[in-house]
Amino acid sequence: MRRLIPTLFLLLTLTACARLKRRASPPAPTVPSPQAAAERTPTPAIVASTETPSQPPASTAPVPTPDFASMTFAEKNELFLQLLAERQAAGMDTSAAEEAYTRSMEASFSGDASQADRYLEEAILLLWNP
Amino acid sequence: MKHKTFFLFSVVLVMTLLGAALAPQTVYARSGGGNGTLTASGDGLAGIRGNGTVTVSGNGILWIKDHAGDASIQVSGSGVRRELPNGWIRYTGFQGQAVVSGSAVTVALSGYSIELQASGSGKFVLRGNGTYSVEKDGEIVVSGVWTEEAQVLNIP
Repeated sequence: MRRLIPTLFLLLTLTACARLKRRASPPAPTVPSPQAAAERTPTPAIVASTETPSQPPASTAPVPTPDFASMTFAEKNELFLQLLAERQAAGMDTSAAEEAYTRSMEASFSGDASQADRYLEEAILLLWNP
Repeated sequence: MKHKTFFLFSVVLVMTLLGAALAPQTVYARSGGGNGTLTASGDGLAGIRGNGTVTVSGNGILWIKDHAGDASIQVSGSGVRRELPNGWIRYTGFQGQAVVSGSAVTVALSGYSIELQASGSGKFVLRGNGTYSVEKDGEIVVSGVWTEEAQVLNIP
């Protein structure tokens, strides 16, 4: 009997907490019908303009760089080798990139993957923006 | 009182055993006297440093370093050879096979379709996608996959 009271008290508290939580949480989203979803699908707005858009000079346009964060080591490695082959075929001096790549390999041997990746990315960028 | 202590002790013991069983296992090769044989294949970077004989084939960039000055190096296939000031011999655009023996050598191949076999003792690193196993005394003692991290493992 002595144990029963605290157990019941605990049970009641837990039930009350669960109810409060349920009330506080937002209602489950309703699944829209395909027709309603189609009605809500945004269509691209066409903006008519009489002004001639000014074109920025080519030299100031940002050069896109590879999205290293989304690439695995194998992908970056493959990209480097591909760029290296292309640049060498074009007769470009690739020695700086190759040095960075050698440092990357040495860092991998030291077990420092993040340093190795930094050198590998540096090597890619050296070839990316010749 | 005695029962409570026993119960608590049992709970702690079970939790410890469960923790040990469920904890993520890192595949580190057991350190030993060496003289195992490493076999690896995959894409990425495969490198080994130590004492013994290394046979590696594939496509990409090959590096070789003879730390003790007693290495025997045989390279077949294609690639642009260059000796770097820090002691590395580098083959760019490598496509072929290299067999390197010595008391202190480093051999690394970065690229694709890499096949590596090394007998002796030392450390190795395998990054990218692939598999490896180490055989010693006729049985496979360690096996695993190449990883994204630069895990440096020992040939047991």
